[in-house]
Amino acid sequence: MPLNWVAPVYDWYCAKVGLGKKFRQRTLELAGVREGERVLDAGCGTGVLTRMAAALTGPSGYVAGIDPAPRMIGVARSNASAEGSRAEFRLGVIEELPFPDNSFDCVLSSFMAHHLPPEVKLKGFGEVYRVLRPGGRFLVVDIGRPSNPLWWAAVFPLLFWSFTKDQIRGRLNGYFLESGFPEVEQKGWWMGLINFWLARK
Amino acid sequence: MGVDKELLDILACPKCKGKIRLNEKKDGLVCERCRLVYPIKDDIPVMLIDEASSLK
Repeated sequence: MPLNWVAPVYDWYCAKVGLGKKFRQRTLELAGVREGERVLDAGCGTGVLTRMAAALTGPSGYVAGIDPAPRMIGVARSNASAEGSRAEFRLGVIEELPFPDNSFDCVLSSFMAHHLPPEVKLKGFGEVYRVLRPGGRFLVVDIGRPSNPLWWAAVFPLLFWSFTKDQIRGRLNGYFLESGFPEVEQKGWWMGLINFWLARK
Repeated sequence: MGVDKELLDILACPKCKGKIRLNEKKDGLVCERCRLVYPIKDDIPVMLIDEASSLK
């Protein structure tokens, strides 16, 4: 489900709901992105995180962002050239990654999982496993099972949507294990509504 | 043209994950094995199987 319609206002919206630069920095910290690494941002949207990753990895690194929405990629690319960022962008989907096996140190996927139906999520995680080098990291940021009961009032409708119900029930970990990752760590944020999952190949 | 050699080294066919090459017109990426051409639109490689055309 490419999010073309939201591309012009997406960055403004993310900052409004508390997903600004600080949150992205936290994401990169947890993923452990360092200088010289090869990083893929799967579902990069307008490429805010992608460009921040490219700044961290520096000239010896390589950072690519993929998204299925042409307008998102259009914004990502023009922002990258305006900033002089080395991040590369292309149209692509997580379930059919256009990269060879073992080509990345780290794959990031920020607020993308809830856009995918269960079978595509599983196929996509398998593709991430394939393109990661042995020991490479996969960091997913998305909604999970809320630890604070107050959130349930807001999220219960998501239990009736096949794309999100496994996430709200706290079952995303199983997707990593089924895709070949030997283990996965989970960290809550915002009283558990937003979660970080970190898996290693 | 934004698609350089370095980029082609890391790009693969999303279908067979095999090597791809730039076509002569430099407006598409060719997978010989799948007989598919992935278009390059506004310098952005469109690596979607649905958007690929068959290789003539």
